[in-house]
Amino acid sequence: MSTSDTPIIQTVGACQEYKLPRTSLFGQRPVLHALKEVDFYAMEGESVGIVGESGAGKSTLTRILVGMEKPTAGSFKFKDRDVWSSDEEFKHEFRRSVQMVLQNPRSSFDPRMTIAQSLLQPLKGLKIGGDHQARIHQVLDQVGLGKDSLKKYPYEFSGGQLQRVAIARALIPDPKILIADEPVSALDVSIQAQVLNLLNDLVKDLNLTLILITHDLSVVSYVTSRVAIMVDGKIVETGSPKSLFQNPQSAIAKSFVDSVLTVGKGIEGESLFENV
Amino acid sequence: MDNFALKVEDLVVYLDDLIAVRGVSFVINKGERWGLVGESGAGKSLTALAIMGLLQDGWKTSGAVLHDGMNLLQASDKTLSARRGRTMSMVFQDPTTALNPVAKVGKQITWILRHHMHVTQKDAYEQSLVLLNKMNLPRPESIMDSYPHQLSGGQRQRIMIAMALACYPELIIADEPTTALDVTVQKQVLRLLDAAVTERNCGLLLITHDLPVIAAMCENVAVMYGGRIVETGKISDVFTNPRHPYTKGLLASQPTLDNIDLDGGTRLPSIRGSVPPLYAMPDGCAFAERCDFATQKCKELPELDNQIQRVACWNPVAEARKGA
Amino acid sequence: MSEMMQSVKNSLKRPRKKSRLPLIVGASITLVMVIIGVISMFWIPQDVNVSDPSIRMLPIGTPHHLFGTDFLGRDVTSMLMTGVRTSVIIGASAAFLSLFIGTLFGMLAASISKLDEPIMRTADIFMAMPGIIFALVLASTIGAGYVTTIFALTSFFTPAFVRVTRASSMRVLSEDYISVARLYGRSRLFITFRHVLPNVSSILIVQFTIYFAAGVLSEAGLSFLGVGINRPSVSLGMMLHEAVEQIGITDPLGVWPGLGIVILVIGLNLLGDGLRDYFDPRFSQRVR
Repeated sequence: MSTSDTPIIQTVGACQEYKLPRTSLFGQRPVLHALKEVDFYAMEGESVGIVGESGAGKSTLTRILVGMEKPTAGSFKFKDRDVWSSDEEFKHEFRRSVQMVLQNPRSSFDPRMTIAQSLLQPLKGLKIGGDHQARIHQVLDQVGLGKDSLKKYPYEFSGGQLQRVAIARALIPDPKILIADEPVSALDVSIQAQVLNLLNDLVKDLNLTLILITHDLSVVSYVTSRVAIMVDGKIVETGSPKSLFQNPQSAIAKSFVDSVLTVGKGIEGESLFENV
Repeated sequence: MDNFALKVEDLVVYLDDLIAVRGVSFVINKGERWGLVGESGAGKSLTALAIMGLLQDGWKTSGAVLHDGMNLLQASDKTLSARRGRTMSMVFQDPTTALNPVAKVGKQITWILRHHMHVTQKDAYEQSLVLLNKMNLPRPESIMDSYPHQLSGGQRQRIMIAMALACYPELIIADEPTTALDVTVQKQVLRLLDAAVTERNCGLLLITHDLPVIAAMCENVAVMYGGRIVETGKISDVFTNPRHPYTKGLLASQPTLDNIDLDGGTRLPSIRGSVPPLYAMPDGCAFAERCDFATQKCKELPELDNQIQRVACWNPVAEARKGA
Repeated sequence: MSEMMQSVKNSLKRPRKKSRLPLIVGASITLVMVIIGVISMFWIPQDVNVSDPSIRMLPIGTPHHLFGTDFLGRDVTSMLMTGVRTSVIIGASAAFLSLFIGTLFGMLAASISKLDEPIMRTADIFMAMPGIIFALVLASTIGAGYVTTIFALTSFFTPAFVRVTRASSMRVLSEDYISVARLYGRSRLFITFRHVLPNVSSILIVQFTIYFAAGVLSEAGLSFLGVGINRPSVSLGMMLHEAVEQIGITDPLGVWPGLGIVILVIGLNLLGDGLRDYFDPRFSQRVR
């Protein structure tokens, strides 16, 4: 449900290059083109997926979207303003509005800090005022965790619970955009469902814009309404999950769809069970 | 000679006072394919390691693992080594760490053939090339001459499978063989494994948390939860009419494309709660606290019943067979 | 439950908790030595440098001279107490200075990539210098003594601390919560001292005890060779140096300082081992 015509976040012609270590004593260092002229966008309130294999450029694009890296060419806009060339005040608004949830919940938290201390970090770092304790209790409630979580250390939580804490932490600055990088890949299947449902609920209740990065097509189809498929630093195809599955155009999309295994079908796509 | 490739009887695996595998029993006959399904903490990897004799120091076992005429749990290292790689082999999850990084691939494969089958270096080389060809690896000579890090993940996994097949084992144990691979490569590798197992008529024990993979590769399945097998039977029965509430919940919570409403708006059923940690495992049914059908009786540990599709549950899901 | 499970359950052992004994013993020994050293700053039975040939070579157990006297009539007990003090001070100082400088540069090398190469190559240069020769040169130019010895030992140990800190810091910096902290606008300083340092501290504490022991041993070696501590200061190594000259004439003189060194170093090593065990399984124990 978009409330305006311009995307809330977008990259236009974004390129990202990394200099690789020297291979010879003289001459230029080799360059890795991680992103090649990528036009990506998300409208307010939309859930968009970015799908690709490892090395496709998803992580690089994620780092640009979150403001961690500046593209070597092209522009990156938030609310239709170029982020990197704007003033400190706008940059600050951007940082508060875009939050991230990462793949490995264990690595996302300082093992020496309690959950309470970890949840305080965004409030302190982004200089958010107001009643900190109340805000912390509020986000814990939103993800379905109790206040007794606050005194605990990360090692006392299971992977799924810790990922919820990560989502809670991302919600603290009251962001407009949530970027989830493989949020369920490291979790057990029965827990994946819990977390995906939570993300869906939050998107609806808080009118969040969700950008979900994953290699798993089935996951993306449960949560997003539009998917961009990346290969080799480029977006090669976009479309709704439905159209992508039923009618993949690019080679990589075809191989993605082809590689999906479902319980009812065998390796060659043959139907396995008679009475399903 | 036994009829079975592997017979596990009441296997218990524990470390000090933590019991990770709580009495697991199953039989794999020659040529049969079994899937061992469970999530993390269920004890499936430990089961595989216990069978192969690869448990880390401190872990102890109890019960019996019968293979090739003996109980592997009580066999000496020497006897085990004679069987590992020959009558029984394993494919590990991460091909990067499973292959020796400082030895060329050729050396690793030929070593197995020479050690177990006592062939000459020349014959071993020839046989290795044949194996690699079967794995659809192009230019096998150059692969034999490469180091593992020069190859892709999919190639490495295929090499591992080739190594597992080399001596025509009675049983291959594959522990999450495709989890670490890129999605587009997974199916290819599975296809290869499938063809190879069929051709050599070996038994297969496929261990994974990935239900569709098991469905595609195996005919029989054992579902593990909390260190025990809670349901077992033919896949065509268990996956279409699961009797254990956990199996049912697991199947329903898969984000698959089968039953998804691609226009959006579906809610994934999930299993509430999480797996109890090893040190807080209840005496009764480990799934009870997450189960919608739990009753007082569930405080007592249920055993597998004696139907064809066996379940260890006091309140199994009522049969709803079509046309029953 | 099956019979098998039942019998296993009956035979279960409680987890063998790693014995705290090394930690306790090590800490006690170290503490005792430090206390002896502290006491010696305020009181020793006799002045260590007053020679009184009339009471030379008294055996142990003589009243007023518990450990006897040496070949010049100086009280061995007093020398031992002072010697322990010297060894502790030098070992601790060298270890502490190396810890301080090494941690600083190690964290710098890990956080700021432009500084990484210069710092590590400098550390390599220091590591390449043979310690004894360096101490010899220092002793002959500046003169031997407390400061020189501490300086020599610190230069010797610091590169190791730089390496350990750098490696541990890099491991911590590669974790996701560091990226998250950066996204929250945390300064490099904050990340270094509030995220990196606490997470490498346990490794550093253990390293400190190891190098404390190394410092005691090295000082003993240097003083034994004559390029460390010399009279009027007294150290255990220096006592060995003097005792060597008396071998064949008055043998037992070397035993006490030697024992002192051995006990102190064993105590520190046990302490280091105990601390390592104390820190290690705690956070990874239940996360299996």
